[in-house]
Amino acid sequence: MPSLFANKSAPLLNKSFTVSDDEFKQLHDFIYKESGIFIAENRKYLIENRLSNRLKELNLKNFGEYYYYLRFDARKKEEMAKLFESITTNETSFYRNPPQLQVFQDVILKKTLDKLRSARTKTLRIWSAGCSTGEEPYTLAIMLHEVLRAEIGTWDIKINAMDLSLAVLGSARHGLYTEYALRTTPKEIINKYFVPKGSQFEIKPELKHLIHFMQGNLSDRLSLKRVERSHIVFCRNVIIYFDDEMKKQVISSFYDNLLPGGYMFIGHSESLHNISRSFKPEYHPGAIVYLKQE
Amino acid sequence: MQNNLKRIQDLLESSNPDEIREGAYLSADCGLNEVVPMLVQRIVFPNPGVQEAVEGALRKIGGQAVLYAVLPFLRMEDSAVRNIAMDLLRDVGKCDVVALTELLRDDDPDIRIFGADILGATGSALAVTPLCHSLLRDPETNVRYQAAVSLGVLGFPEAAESLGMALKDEEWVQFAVIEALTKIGDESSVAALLIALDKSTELVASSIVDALGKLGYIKAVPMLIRALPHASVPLANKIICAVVNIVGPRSLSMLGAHEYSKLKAHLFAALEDEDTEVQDAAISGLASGKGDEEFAVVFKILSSLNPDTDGERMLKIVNILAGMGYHKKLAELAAGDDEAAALLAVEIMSRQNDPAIVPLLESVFWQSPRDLQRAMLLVLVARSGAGEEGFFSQVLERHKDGSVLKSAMYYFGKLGNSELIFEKIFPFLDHPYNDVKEAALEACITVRSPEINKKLREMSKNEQDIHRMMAFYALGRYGTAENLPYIVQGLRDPSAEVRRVAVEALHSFVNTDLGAMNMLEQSLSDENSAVRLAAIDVLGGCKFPESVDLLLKAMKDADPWVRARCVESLGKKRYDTIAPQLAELLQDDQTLVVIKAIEALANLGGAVAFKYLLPFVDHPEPEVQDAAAAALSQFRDQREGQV
Ligand SMILES: C[S@@+](CC[C@H](N)C(=O)[O-])C[C@H]1O[C@@H](n2cnc3c(N)ncnc32)[C@H](O)[C@@H]1O
Repeated sequence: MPSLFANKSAPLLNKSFTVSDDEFKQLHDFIYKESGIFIAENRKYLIENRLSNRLKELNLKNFGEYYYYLRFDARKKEEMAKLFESITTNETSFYRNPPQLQVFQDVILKKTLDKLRSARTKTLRIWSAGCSTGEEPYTLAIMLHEVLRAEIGTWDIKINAMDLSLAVLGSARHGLYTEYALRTTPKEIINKYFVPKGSQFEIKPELKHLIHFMQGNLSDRLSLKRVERSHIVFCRNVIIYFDDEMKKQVISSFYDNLLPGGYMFIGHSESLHNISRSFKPEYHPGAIVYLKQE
Repeated sequence: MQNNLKRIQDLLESSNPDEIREGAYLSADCGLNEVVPMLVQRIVFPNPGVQEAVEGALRKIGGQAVLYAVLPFLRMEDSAVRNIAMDLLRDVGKCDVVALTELLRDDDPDIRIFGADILGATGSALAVTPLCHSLLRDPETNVRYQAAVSLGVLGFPEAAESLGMALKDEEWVQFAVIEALTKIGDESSVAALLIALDKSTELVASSIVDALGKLGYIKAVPMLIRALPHASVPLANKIICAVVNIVGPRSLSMLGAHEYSKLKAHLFAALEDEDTEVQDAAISGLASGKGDEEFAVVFKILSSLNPDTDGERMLKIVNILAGMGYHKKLAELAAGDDEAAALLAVEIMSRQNDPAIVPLLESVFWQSPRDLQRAMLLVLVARSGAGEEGFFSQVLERHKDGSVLKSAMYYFGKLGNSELIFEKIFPFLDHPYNDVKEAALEACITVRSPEINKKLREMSKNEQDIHRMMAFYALGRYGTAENLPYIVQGLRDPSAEVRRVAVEALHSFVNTDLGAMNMLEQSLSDENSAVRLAAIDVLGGCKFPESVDLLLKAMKDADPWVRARCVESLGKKRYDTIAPQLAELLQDDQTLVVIKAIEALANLGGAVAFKYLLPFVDHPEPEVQDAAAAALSQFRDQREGQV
């Protein structure tokens, strides 16, 4: 007999469901197929901890039924979104990992802009892959403003910001942030690019114009081909969710997307070791940047 | 196909890196041997992106064609190209091991090294003899070294003898040999290592000792102990570690007092080693001595560790200390001012079974801080029987902490005195925390007393939802016949949550009382789908054939999940006659229900079910098709089982 309080959500009564080996495999394969996210065997608890509540709310008996729900229920789309939200972390912030961004602003961006100028074009494309709630692409937009200043109006700039989760994209488009998201952002930047709104801060419209938010799945190689080719790709703290096979595929998609001479940034704790030898690593104080050679 | 090949060829012959990469992707997708020669030419294209894509494609195609095509590239000057060739050959080498053994006879020592390396990755027994030959005969140290490494990777015991002979080689080769013998790990490998132990330099001896510890071969122990007196301190520590790992901590005491006293000084010395693995081995070794001195030293190490970073290690040491038996030091610690140490002492006692523990913990309970009390109470509840009511009553009266209260209530439930339950526990059914309520209810159920049961029946008329819910739940768990009319009342309760619990409570009755089962009919048309689902689950577990009729009615439910569960329950019952009704749901507009119907029919088996399922193998929806195919193969298996 199920527990009396199974449908109540007091923390100590949250009797959680356990996932059997078969169910785990089923869900694992399904999640991998849908998103490329790889949940290792020893992280089964992740499924149990994070999804037990969903089962309770949906009145399901076990993870086998949840799998059926994800595949066949009329509300499967919404559930899929919830599933992704619970198995991925959307943790991000403005000016995340400042030394790396400094290298972007002072070295890579300047170099890229100079190169474009001397080629007499003023078109710049940046791809922020796995942009979460928007802090990363907005930070890049701020840096573009800081570097180009008044000249920015004469440029054709677009930051393609992509994520799997519609929910995070929704709040990214909204552009409203708490102080916490701005904890590593310099004061003068906050004053310049944000408008206080109650206890929160709203990003200014001129930054929003630079960004094109879109939903996309990095594990879907063919659909990534439709992303405009970029001068710079940011994909930080995303490939940690993938197994080596998928990492190889995703990184190779970035390589294909980059224009010759383009640069890629990955998370500072991530590496391309055993993943790709195509890029030429450039070592800067505080960051390794990956170059697609011409 | 021809078109495809032409397109791949054009792309691969392009000078544009992007196009060549595209050509490589296409080659991988088509997987034809014909493209291998074209692809291979592009390994040398001076662009890492192209090289990587080509490598990926060749890897995906694989097979002998790739092996032969790539082999010549081992001789390229360009190290990037050579590395790619190596990587690929490690992958495809097993397709022709004999061709690769040729490499071991090459004039160029580099090629012989590459050959040995690749052979190691083939996993093939055919590689062993040629590699052993290189190990013992090749004039080049690096080749012999690589041969040893590869023999270890291959792991065939046939190589042990040659490896043993190679322990006379240069030190550099010896290390590789020791590692290889460890990987092989059979009896002859251990023998080879033991023979070499005495004759080796300190450095080599130390890695032999490590290897023996990993292999866990009991016959090695006397030899290791014999080596102790002449060993340097670091080597002695390693030997200690190996011995403990081999015999296991408990058996160390079986070595006898005399052997232990020989080891004791070394064990204390090994506690000072930098390596925590050595320390831990010494700790478990010392624990087998059981003395006060040993206890004190090990406890001191335990309390110096940080639970956030060394949690696992601490747990191990706690278990070791618990195995040393109840020491009087534990009482001092539990009563002492150092809360962290007291917690550890309680943790240790929770794993012991000494009569002194209960009185000790009761005597220091009230003077202890809350977290310590929680821990103590868990131990007390587990250990206490009748006679401790006074203590636990006090806890219920004086304490406010939910976790402490729950433990105390658990005690009373276990004790089984209904008067005490009524007096002490019943009031907690009104406690603001749900978990405390639930613990109180659990105690009321555990006592199984008629008086309490009566109180619960009264509670089923309470005006608060939560109380009625608890009452029905408990009445169901009691399961006595007098409870039934009360539970039936619950089926019409205004709150859906309560109705659901009442339905679930009928679970205890529906297998013995047909009337109780029939009561569920009304719940099958409840307005709330959670209640309907609960009713179906209960009916699914009911053995009366009449339950089938009720379930059949529910198959028309508006909610697809109710229909799906209903079909599932029916399928488990295996009444052949319902196949036609189940088959109706094959036309359901919800894929979920269709699939569940297919599975249910598959469970039923039989010719009729088969007839219904057959048309579904080419259903337009792939999921339905899959389910039907799986069902039909289930039929086949059943048939074969019968024959
Ligand atoms: C930890 S956040 C990183 C945000 C930002 N790049 C940063 O470094 O601060 C990871 C994001 O990757 C997204 N993600 C995970 N798997 C993805 C996939 N297969 N395709 C697209 N986005 C994905 C998640 O939704 C999440 O928003």
